[in-house]
This record gives sequence, structure tokens and C-alpha cells, in this order.
Amino acid sequence: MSRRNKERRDAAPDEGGVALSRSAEDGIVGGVLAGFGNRFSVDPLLLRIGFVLLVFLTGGLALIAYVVAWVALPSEGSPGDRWLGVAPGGWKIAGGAALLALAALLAFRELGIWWSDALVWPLVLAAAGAALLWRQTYAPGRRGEARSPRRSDERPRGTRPALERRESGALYRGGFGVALVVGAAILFLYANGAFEAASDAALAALVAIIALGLILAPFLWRLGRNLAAERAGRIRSQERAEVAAHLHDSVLQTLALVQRRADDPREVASLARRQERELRAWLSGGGAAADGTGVAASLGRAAVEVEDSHGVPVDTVIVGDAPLDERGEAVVAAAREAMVNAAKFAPDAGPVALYGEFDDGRASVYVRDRGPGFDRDSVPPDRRGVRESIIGRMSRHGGSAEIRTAPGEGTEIRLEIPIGGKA
Amino acid sequence: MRGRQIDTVSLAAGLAIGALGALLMLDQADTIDLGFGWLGAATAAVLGVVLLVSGLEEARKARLQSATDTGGEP
Repeated sequence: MSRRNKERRDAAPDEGGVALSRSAEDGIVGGVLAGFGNRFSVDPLLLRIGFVLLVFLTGGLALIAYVVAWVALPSEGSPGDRWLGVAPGGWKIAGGAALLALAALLAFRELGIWWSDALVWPLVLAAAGAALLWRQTYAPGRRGEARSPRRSDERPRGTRPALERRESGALYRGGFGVALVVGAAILFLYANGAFEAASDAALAALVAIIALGLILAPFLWRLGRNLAAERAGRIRSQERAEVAAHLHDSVLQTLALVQRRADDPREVASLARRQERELRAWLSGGGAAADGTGVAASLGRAAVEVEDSHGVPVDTVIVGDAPLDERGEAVVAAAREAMVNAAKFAPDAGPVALYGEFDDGRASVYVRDRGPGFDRDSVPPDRRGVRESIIGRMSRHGGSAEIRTAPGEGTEIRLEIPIGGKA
Repeated sequence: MRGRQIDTVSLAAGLAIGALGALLMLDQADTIDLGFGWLGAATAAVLGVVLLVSGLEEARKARLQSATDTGGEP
């Protein structure tokens, strides 16, 4: 596999690797086997050896398949991924390959490695017709391409737009392909005497169905591809509309509020923080979690409430989640009290940091501020915020609260509790 | 001084037609028996080789031209 194709495959891992196409870069004759090798990560040399064996085993019929693939598959290596017939030398290459395949078939016939004239020649015709029809299916630049705005009576005499020429050429090729497939079916039936015996009606019907399938398959294939492309386009359009609606409902509304409250820096900062948090949650797909009923959502809502009511930003990082049971409610209430204290006593010391981790049946919540800190022994006995609402609450529910603080060094409150019924 | 470039298409065509001529001469000399089937196969092969080499050469030149136009490697 060439370096370029390997890079191409590595660059598009989500698309199922590189698309099946002829590799002009790695190919020796037409690049069909190299294209298959690149697509399915098989050494093209192995495919070539297998193909040569197959040619001898099938009496040359594999060559027909090769030519069909050559005509039907797009060229990858030519500039702009152009197709056979459009790419320079395309038809010469196809004609040369077809003649070489014919020569090989004649040689196999002379050597006696041969199925039957009644089978091989109709098969050759059918393959050629099917290849032309498949090429019609793959041919690019027809869908969505506007006709020339120039009216026919304004055109110089004797000239036709390229699109019109291409369409008429495609029509001829398609008609020729259908004629080849039908001719192959008739030839096969004639060579096998199906027209003479009524008992062979079943064979005639079978061959007719196969011929019809060969004719219709490319169009059904193209229809399927068009439907898939249309569906993908519709999904993209819906996603764009959703993004636009969300931006309008959130960011634009907030920007309008910011303009209106420009004289209140604290309010503006609070609005910006709220919007940032919401946007981050939406971008990371956490919108549903924020509306959820778990401990993580409840803790996040508590942080938002504190931020809104006290105008102090709260940097929130929450990892994992757990059901909101009695212990969950306790840890959320204790954390909320810690955040309120931080907002009340260190309003100008920057954002309050909230870190919550809910994993493996245990909840760990940290609330930290960079405020003035305090001396625990100097707290009056009638102040029950830290003592009861944090330490006492955690202890009553089987958890613990640890407070690290000192004057001038900020405060960190660490809450630990078994959670989620794994106590 | 720059040497003359080999015209690949002419070379391939010359070799293929030469091989066909050799086959015909061997047939005339009764060294081999070249029937209608073999003759058809040989003729188709000669034409096929000429067309194939010509097409491949044309595609190669187009690729080189495109690479020169875009400034990339061929």
C-alpha cells in the first residue's frame, strides 16, 4: 500500500476507510487490484497472484470481471478524481484492456481451457453492457448541475454546451449498455436452444430476469445512494437549524442583556459566567445531565444558585454521577453551605472552586476559596453554619467533613460520604 | 547535451507488431501452425497493447501536467 493511500486511510477512519476506486498510483495495468488492496488492506501482490490463478481456473472469465471493474470503478489517482472517459487516455486504456482480454479469451479457447461458446460470449456482451450501465450510475457532475443559462438561440451555430454533450453521450452509452445486455440474453437463449423448446420457458424467464437485474441494478444503486445523500443533507440542515436556534435563545439573548446591564459589572460578569457554563454544557453534550435528577446535576444547580444569588463565580468541575438519595442530598446541602460561606466571606477573592467526584460508591466534594480564611477556635459558639450545616450534617449521614483553613490562606472544605447504596 | 527521449508508444507498438510479424513468419515456415483463432488472439493482443500503452502514456502526461500546474509533486 502506498504511503499516500495509507495516509488517506488514516485520515478518514470514521468513514470506513478509503472508498473503493482504481488506484492509478499503485496500479500496474488499470489499478483495479491495487484499488481493492488499498480498500481492504490486502497486499496487491497477493491479489495479483490470486487473479492470475483465477484467470487460468476460469478459462479467462476473470479478465472480463477485471475489465468490468475497470470501467465501473472511479479513478482515484487521476487529477480531480476524474472518471474513465473524462480522464485523459481513459477510453484508450479501457479499449486496450478489452482487446487484451479478448486476446486472452481467444487464446484460452484455442488451448481448450474453455467453458462453452454459448456461455462465454453472451457473458462477455452482458459484462460490457453492465459495465457501461454501472458507469452511468457513477458518472459525476450531473446531479445539481445547472443547465447553461444561455438560450439555444443565443448560442453560436454548431456549438453545444458541455453538459448537453455529456448528457447525450451518457444517453447513447446507457442505451448501448442496455442493448448489449439484452443482446447477450438473446444470444444465450438462442445458443442454448431455448427459443425452440417450450420446456425451456423457465430458463428463458430466468435469463430475462437476470438481464433485467443487470439493467436495473445500477439505477437502483444510484437511487439508494441519492436517498442516502439526501438524508445526510437533511440531517446536516436540521443540525444547523438547531445550532442557530440555540445560539439565538442563549448567546444572543445574553448579549442583549449584557448591553442593557453594562453599568453593573458584577451582573455582567454573572451573566457571562452563566452563559459560559450553559454553552460549555451544551457543547459537551451535558445539557441533559444538567437537567437530570442525579447528585451531579443537583450539585451543579446548587453552584448556579449560589452564583446567581451572591454574584460570585463558581468554577465547577463534576466527574461521575450517583442517584440523589438521602446521603446525596446531605452532601449537596453541605457543599452549598460551604459555597455560600465562601461567597459571603470572600466575595472579592476570585472564583470559588467546586470539585465533585462521584465514583465507586463514594462521593468526594471539595469547595475552595482564596479568601482571608479564619481561625476555627475563634468562631463564636452561636455561629452554626460550619459546625452544624456542614460538619454535623455530614457526620449524621455517615460521612465526614474536613476543613483546612488559616488566616490569610483561604479555605478548603473537603466532604466525603459513601453514596449510591454501597455504604 | 540532452539525450533523445524514447517514445514509449512507438516502442511498444514496434515490439508488438514485430512479434506479430515473427509469428507470421514462423507460420509461413511451418514451424508453428497459426490457426484463425490464434491469429485473432495475436491481432487483438497487438492492438490492445498499442492502445493500452498509448492511453497510459496519455494519462501519465496529464498527471505530470497537472502536477506542474499545481506546483505539487507528480
